[in-house]
Amino acid sequence: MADVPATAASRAGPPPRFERPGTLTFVFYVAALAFLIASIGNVDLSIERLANGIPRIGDLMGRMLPPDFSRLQSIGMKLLETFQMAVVGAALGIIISLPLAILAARDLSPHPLVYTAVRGLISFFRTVPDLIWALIFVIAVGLGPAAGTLALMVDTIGFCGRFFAEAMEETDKGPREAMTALGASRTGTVFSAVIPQAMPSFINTSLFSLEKATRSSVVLGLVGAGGIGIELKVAMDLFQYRQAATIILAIFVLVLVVERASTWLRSKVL
Amino acid sequence: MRAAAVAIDRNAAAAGVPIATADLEVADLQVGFADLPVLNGIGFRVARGESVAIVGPNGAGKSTLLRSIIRLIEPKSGIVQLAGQEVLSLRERELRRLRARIGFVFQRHNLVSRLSALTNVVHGAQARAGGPRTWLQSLARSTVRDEAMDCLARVGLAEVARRRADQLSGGQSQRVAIARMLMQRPQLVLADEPVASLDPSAGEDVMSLFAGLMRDSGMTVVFTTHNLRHARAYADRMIGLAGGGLAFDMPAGAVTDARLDGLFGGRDG
Ligand SMILES: Nc1ncnc2c1ncn2[C@@H]1O[C@H](COP(=O)(O)OP(=O)(O)OP(=O)(O)O)[C@@H](O)[C@H]1O
Ligand SMILES: [Mg+2]
Repeated sequence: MADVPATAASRAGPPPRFERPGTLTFVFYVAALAFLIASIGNVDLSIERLANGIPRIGDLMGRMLPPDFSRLQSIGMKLLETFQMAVVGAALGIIISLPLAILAARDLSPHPLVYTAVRGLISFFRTVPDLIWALIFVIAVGLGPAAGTLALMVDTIGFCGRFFAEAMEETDKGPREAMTALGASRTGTVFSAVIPQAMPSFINTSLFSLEKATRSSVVLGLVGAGGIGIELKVAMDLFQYRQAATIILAIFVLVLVVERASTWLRSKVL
Repeated sequence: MRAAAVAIDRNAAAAGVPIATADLEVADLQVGFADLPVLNGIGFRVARGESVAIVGPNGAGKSTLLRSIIRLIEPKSGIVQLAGQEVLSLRERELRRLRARIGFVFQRHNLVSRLSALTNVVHGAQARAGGPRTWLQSLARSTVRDEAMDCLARVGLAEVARRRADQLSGGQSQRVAIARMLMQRPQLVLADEPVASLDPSAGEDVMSLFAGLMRDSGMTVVFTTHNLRHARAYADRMIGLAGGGLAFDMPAGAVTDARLDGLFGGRDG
């Protein structure tokens, strides 16, 4: 159809609405659909289960209400600790990401081997989930917020390292070439002509990583890596649903406030 | 005849003897991309204080030639002598030191758009003054800042020093780029169609400003242009480039219209 000249096409009427898929594409669609259907069976998700489940959620909600605010102060302290883990973890991660990202940016990296190695390290940090990092750091540095903070730091490096590197690769080549032409060193070029151009993207990514770290910090307590997660687990285990409700509300407020603040800052800075 | 001259130059270069009074000496320069040859062994000299225009049809290799001189593109072979130094054998650090003394004006201004005009000019001192203090005007030594203001004043833009580069007009941007080049205190200037991106009136202004600055400071200049009037008005000598070689190399006043028609007609016809 692409080969037919426009004039001939207008005489022959428009092309078919849908292109017929190739054999391979068709096989792929069928296989994907079959896998989806098989998977629904395997995860044991049935209408019956759902029907039974909904009233139980209703029941749980009933037992959570009204929330019990009696321990609000200690929950508040724990919430602050959680947020501080997020802030410190994200800040450390952002700071460490910058030099790593320079090494992981094509044509800024000093050597292809360095580029590949650092890219690989950053991908590894990113692909291993934060809960697993938290488990590892709990073993390494013991229970408590230090482990959680380190896990958030590593997770942030995985996120920021990649996006910082991509932001730098996408900057205009012209100013870089101008710096090279006037005899600037590689470092000089990066700091004079690359980082200033990538700055809006850096700020954007950093704010996202803070939001992400805040959401993660909430659950790290489940594995003993500090923060409010442990409070929630204990309350649930002891059937103190009204306290659990307060904790969930507190988490909701924290995440919402951080997201709002980050959106506002983004609009201010960019 | 030419071959003999090249042979002599090569011996001189091999012996490390600087070629007298030439600021730029190119001999037998071969440049190409992958399997596309662009320059097939061209040679010319530019004397100190001389102004040379390089003209030729699109794709003749004018930009490639200028870029090769400071090795923004690596030539395949040949000799480039700049200020008495053999460029093609320089190592990274020495090459940077040499580039520091050679001004380069691009067709597009190539300013760092999110930084102020003043910071962009301060960058010109980067190879000379070095280090983090030339990354931003706010970090720069007062002597460097003063000199950068001077350079901006010489292109008539002292009043926009604080303005971000992306808020300047095309003509202003190119003038800031010229100020950045002046900040290098260059001994030779290469300019690749320095006003081709500007409208005709801004182009005239910037070209006459540029040529005036070069003439007044007695700087050696090599510029490419598609504006033959600029070539005639602002160059002492004109070099015609076509088909990977030199079509002519003569005093600008001696270049006839017929010769230029021949240079450009060869492609169109
Ligand atoms: N980076 C590159 N990679 C591959 N080929 C290139 C590259 N740069 C230039 N060329 C080719 O080299 C030849 C010369 O290009 P060059 O830009 O030097 O010509 P020019 O004389 O400056 O042309 P113009 O008048 O259009 O500026 C052209 O055929 C071009 O396609
Ligand atoms: Mg060109």
